[in-house]
Amino acid sequence: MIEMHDLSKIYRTSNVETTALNGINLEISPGEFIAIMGPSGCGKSTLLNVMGMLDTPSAGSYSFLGEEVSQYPEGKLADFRKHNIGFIFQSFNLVDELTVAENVELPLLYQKVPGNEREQKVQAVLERVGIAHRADHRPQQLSGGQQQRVAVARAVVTNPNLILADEPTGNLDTTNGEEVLDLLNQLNSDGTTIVMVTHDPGHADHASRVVQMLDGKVLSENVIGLRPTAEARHA
Amino acid sequence: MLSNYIKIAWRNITGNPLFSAINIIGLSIGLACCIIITLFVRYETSFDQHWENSDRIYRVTRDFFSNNLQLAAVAPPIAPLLQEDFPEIEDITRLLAAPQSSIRRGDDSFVEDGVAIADRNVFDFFNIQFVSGSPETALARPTDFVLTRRAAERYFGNEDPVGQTLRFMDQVDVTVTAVIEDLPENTHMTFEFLGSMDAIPMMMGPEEMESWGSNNYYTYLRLPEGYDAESLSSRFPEFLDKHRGEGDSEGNALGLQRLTDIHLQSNRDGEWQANGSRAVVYTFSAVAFVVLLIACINFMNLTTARSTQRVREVGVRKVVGAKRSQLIVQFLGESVLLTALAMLLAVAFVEIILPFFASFLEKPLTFSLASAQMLGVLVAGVIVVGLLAGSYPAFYLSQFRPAEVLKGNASGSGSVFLRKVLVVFQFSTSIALLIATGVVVAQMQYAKNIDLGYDKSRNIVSSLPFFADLWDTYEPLKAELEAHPDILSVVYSSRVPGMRNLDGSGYIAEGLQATMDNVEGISDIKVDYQWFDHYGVEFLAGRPFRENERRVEEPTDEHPVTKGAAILNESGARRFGWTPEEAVGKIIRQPMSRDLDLFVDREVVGVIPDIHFASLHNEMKATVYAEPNGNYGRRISVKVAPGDPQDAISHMESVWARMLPAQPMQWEFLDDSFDALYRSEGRQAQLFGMFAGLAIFVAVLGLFGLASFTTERRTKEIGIRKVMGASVSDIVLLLTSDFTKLVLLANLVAWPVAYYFMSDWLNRFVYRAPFADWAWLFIASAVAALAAAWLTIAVQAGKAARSRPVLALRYE
Repeated sequence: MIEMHDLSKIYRTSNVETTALNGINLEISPGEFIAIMGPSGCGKSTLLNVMGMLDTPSAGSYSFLGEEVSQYPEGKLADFRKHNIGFIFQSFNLVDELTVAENVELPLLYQKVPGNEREQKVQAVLERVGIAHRADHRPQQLSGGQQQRVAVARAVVTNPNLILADEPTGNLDTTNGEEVLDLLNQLNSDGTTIVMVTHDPGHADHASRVVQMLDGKVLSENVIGLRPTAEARHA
Repeated sequence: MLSNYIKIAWRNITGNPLFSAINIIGLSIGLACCIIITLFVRYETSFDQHWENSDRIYRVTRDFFSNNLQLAAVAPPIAPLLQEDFPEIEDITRLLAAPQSSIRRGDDSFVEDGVAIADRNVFDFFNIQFVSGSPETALARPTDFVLTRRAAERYFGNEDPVGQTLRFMDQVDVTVTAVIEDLPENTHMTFEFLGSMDAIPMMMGPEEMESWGSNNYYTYLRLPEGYDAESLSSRFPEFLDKHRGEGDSEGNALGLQRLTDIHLQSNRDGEWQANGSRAVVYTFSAVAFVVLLIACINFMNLTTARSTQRVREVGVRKVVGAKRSQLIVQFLGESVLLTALAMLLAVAFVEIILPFFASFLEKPLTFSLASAQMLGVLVAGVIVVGLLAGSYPAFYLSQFRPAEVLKGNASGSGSVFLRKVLVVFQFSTSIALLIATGVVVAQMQYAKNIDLGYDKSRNIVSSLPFFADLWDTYEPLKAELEAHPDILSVVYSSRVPGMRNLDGSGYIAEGLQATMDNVEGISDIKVDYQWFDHYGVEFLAGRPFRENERRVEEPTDEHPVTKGAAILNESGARRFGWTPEEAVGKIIRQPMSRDLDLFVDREVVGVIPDIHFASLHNEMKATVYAEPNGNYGRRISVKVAPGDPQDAISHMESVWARMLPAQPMQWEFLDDSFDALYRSEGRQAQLFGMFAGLAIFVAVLGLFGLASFTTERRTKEIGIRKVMGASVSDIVLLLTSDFTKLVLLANLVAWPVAYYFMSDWLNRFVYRAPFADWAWLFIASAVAALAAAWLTIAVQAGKAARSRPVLALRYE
């Protein structure tokens, strides 16, 4: 699904040049659950941004579903993104002025999905994440865990091929964090490819492969055998 | 998608009540100003457009070069001669305004200002609706008379006036032949009564209609479709030379002005009534636009300053698939929605304020939402203003990249530099408006207090009847009035101060040959011998007239040269090449016939300073003062003793009623009529003041919002500083210093702009307030703006400065 060859990202200001990614080589197959780990400032989020076409690489190639997208203009990237990728953020990033249902509906609006179909999809995905009973509430009225579940629902409502999660449990307590991870696991079991940035080794265990990064480079990739299920972990 | 945009726009508006209120109120004030000024401009530009073929009708004008007269009316023989010489003229008509005319019905007599005399074809030019009678026959005979509906109601109530008789000027019985609708307000003419031009020879003598010196007849001609008026007017010099003698066109000229241009572009001598001014229309349009612009800038500033709160949403929308163009549309839509709310409030403001505004300007301005055109304009206004105000924030906000803003450290707050520039712009325009108001007021004060060269206080002025012997009327009246202890003096003059002097004659200086080339056209005023003493005019040389110099014999063939006296003003003496001292004793020869064979030799007996007879708009002209002559205006000035003038006025009225029953007395205080010269400037000053106040208010409103936002943003910094030991005043100074610098900078921008425009405005006055009179306004406006800004910011800064540090730090 994803192929990155010699990918680099350099940020330039008038005084400073920062190499956030330095010659990244990475391949991700469909259905994988990848965890990206590393110390602060190692380039994890930058890698996720490039992977999610929220940013463009300075050098190297990035192929997604067989298409070389590294030099695509913003408009084309936006199209690619909305049809293939869902995002989950550490700080949820819900729109405060919209209700839960309206937040989840947002990606469908930009895909011009007709009204009835939108309603059905939103309802289905809210039930799936267990937040349907709060559909008319605003984000400010929900707990952190609940907000993140809404964010997950928004990410999956378009049935994307890939979900990118940037420290999805970073602002949550242990219980809520586990619940969110369970959701991700379920999505992965259903075939969605997941790439997750995390600090927590315990959370990384949910992945099938852990990519370690340092100073903008991939240090190592560890394949973790059979992933333990949530029940097995708490037994 | 649209409902999603509307939902989020509405929730943003209601979720941020302070900022929404500031934006809506500011925009509504700007929109209301624009609506009101648009109504004013629409009215002012509509004058005379409604007459049929108005685009082909021109008024004939006449300029006299030697005494710089630019007349709106011309002599009566010109119209028929033009028609004869220029067959391309389709038709031509004349109107004569006859204010202060007496009209009697039975025992009731009134002095009417709204009387005009017209050629019978006047209704071919001005297609007024007839209530009764018909345009073809309305003025067919010399004694025909037409009333407007209002006049008919006043004189006849519910009776049918047609066929009834009225006594006109106590001379002629006229018969009402028709009633016409009242003239619309938006025309340069005004009359309620129309008499027939054929009556003039009867009333003023047959020579009146042949007189080239009686330039009182408004003359209108109609040209064929597409005819170039310039090609006609370019042949007028030839026309003058043909009918008045070779070389006549070197001393005067005829011109044409479009009927539809008169109201806004004509300010000639002898206009029917005070016209509007294109400059005023442009100025107020610009000022209203400035107020709206200030409100739009508030919107831009506040929206971009608060963009931190919206950039996250921008990032999210882009992540889930929005294109930049879609975001721009969303934000522009929000701004249009906000503007629509502001427009609703603006319409409410206009409904409340317009009646006061209309009455203040004395213009019939109306506002009706029932008109499709008005609704269309309002909707277009909402869209244009919404797009204008929302343009920068929309483009600014939509540019943010998700990667920059979604990590929770979004720092978007707009270009601080641009925001400062906009605040400086807002305050500099407000300050400039304040200065402009002050300068207009300073000029008016200057005009009120200037040494006019005479004492006009405690003078009551009135007009004597025209159709009676002057001395038979004036002398007995003067004697009876002066018998009252409260009446100090009564004098006659052809004009009173405050009236533009349009009268003039030709004079030849001593020692020069009596040829046309040596005739100097000079303004002249006829005064009784006590006039100078009455008005306290000092003499530079010589003396006033003596009583025996009041009458001058008309020269005849048997006695072709008679003697008289003259008094010159300083400019007049200079015109003849004399100093005041040199002028006394000199003779100026006044030709009394076109063939230059009859003269009055006038000895200059005195020279007075140039006095401000008319408004400060007009230059003091070279003037000859001569003895009373009933052919000109007949004014009397009555000087009353200090104190309550009521007794004197009652005495005047009773004497007048007894001695001049045919013409009821109409009088006014000279001070009042003089003040009326500056009424237009007075209104302008008040309007300017209002707009300046609104501009400052809107700018301060915006500053309040910005300061509120900035203070909120710096809460953590304030908390830390307080923990480090800062006092309340330290914090207040910290928060206010930025804005204070901006307002000070705004003054540096405003001062040269205000100086340039107001110096230009003052050039309209020949006599203007010196710079020293209004220099202090620059400092005063700076102080006012600073005080307004400081008060606005300091209140919030004080609140923030007094809050507990722990709250600020916990906030973070």
